[in-house]
Amino acid sequence: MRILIAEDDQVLADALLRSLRTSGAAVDHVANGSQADTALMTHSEFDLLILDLGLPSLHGIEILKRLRARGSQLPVLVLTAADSVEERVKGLDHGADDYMAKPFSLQELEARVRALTRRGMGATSNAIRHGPLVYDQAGRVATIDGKMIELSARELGLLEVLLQRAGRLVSKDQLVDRLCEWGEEVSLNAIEVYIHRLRKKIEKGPVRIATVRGLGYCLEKIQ
Amino acid sequence: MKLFQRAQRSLFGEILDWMLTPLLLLVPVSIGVTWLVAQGIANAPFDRALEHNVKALAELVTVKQGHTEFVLSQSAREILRADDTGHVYYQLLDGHDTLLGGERDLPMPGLDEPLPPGQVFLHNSALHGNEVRVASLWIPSGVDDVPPTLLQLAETREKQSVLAIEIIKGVLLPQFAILPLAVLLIWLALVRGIKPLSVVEARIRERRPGDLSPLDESSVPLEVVPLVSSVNELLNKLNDSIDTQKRFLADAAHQLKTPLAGLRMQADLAQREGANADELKQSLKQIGRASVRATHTVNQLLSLARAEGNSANSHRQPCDLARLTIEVVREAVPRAIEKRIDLGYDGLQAGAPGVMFDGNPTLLKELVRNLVDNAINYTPSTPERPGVITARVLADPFGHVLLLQVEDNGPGIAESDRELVFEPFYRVLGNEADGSGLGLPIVREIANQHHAQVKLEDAHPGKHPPGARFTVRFEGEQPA
Repeated sequence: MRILIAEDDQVLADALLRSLRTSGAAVDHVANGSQADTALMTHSEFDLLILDLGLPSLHGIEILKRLRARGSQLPVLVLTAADSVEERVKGLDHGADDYMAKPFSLQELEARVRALTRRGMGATSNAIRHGPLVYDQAGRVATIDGKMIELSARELGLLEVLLQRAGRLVSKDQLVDRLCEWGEEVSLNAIEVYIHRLRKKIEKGPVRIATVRGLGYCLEKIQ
Repeated sequence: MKLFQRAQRSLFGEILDWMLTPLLLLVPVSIGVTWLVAQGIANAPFDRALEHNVKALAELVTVKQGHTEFVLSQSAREILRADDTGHVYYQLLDGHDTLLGGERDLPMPGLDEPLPPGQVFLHNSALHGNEVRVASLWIPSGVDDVPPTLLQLAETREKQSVLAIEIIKGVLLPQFAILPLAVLLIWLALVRGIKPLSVVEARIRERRPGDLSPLDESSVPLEVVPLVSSVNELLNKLNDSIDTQKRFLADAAHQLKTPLAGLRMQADLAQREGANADELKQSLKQIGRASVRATHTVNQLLSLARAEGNSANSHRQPCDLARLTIEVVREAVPRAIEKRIDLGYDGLQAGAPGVMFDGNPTLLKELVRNLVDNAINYTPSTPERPGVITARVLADPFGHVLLLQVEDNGPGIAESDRELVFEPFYRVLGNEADGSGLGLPIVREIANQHHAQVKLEDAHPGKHPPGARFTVRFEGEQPA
């Protein structure tokens, strides 16, 4: 899962980064409004934007407006210190999907993040089913026929992406983008290795990862 | 404390005094005038009768060759008979002042020259202790060197008095009745006139405590409109001031929520299962940082409140601005060294002529500290391009002007932001600076308290980066 955090307070940003990374997401951070706007325009691989409204140099609402004007469906969770009804309505009306007032608890934040990314994937509960394969987002656990499968963080990440796009082609480049934070390097070969390992662990019964030569991979739909 | 407290002036009382006193002064005047006029009017009919009678009586006096004869005929007696009221007297004196008839004691008319024949001289006199009205007539003797005969007819004045009194009564008594009525009407008129003020008073009293809406100017008398209008202006200013305070309070609360959110998140994170020592350390470090930030914001809020509260010129004393500035710079050196910034002082030394200024030393030091801290916060410093901050105090003792300057070689502040940076919580650069957003508002507030102006401009125009220079200009009398 790729998340972008736009928050100018160092301490809060640090807490968000660390907690979301622990949940296995690849998280990037910008600290002012114009940087956020630029990042959103030039990168399209994010699954979620956590946006503080009180950003310097460009207000959060303005960023939201521009994002929606470009037609982006990116889920947005808005953070703010102002907690009046008008503020909430304003944020939601301008395209925010959810709204949290500071200060808030970590657990609540994480639950809302899950809910928003779930929706992004079209799922309605935390568990994504794919035949006998069940992936629990909250617990970050994959089971087949009820039996837990041991997967590394990278493998889980890959599985998540493939499940999100079950039945559709995902290129290696796309996999790299969705797996890595800015500044991280994962070679295409490494992707192949991860896919190989993943296959060994989950290809049981009807679950199959198909290779599309020269183009990428695809998690086959269950007939 | 006033020893002799003047009683509060009453508009009502004053108007009443100014209207009634002349009125009451006029009353005796009116009485006097009426009395005189009544006397004059009362005299008229009786004077005419007297004149007629004396002429009739004169007919009965004959003067032949200087010899006067007077026959008290029946008709004469008729004239001379007194009636119920009053007595009638007569006197006939010949040319040689010999009494030919009548009262001896009736005084002479007192004229230098006798009047021509036929002319009657009417005058007041006294006889036997009574007041009389006298008609005097001269009858020529017919002989050249014999003076004329004098005939005087006198009547006591009872009748005339009675008439005069009747007239006076008739004129004055209604006046006495009218006077209290007039006073009453004036009183009522004043009460009515002042009533709209009571209405305004009532309306103000029944207002709810927070209601600062303007008073209705159309329902008060014209004369009071300027007063009500200026009260409305005051209410408006008060409203604005309260709104500003409310906004500020809301902003302040928001500003504190962010560090608090950070604190909470870090604490939650640290309590997670599986957190290792490094992660705990990291959380604690961040908690520390957020606490410091929150504390700093609270302190700045208190500073601003204190600066605003000092609007009375309390605790004013002569301050050495150079010494204060040097102290602040000295205290800021450790932080500057930490950031590898070259911080220095320039200008007048402590105790130099012209550095003294009447003000609140605590607040002035606060002002300088905020400017220096701001410069340190927002001036980046790298080995290739070290940050340089200079604090400076300049004075012009003859012009009574004292200047405080703080300049840096940082990114400067864009013209479009130069007004906005003095607003609470406005931050141009956000992230790296640990400012509270209140430093410059505090500077402006303290400057205002001291009637000083704050100017913001580029330190090195044309150069890149231009840097910022804050100049605070204090004007005024130097203490002796």
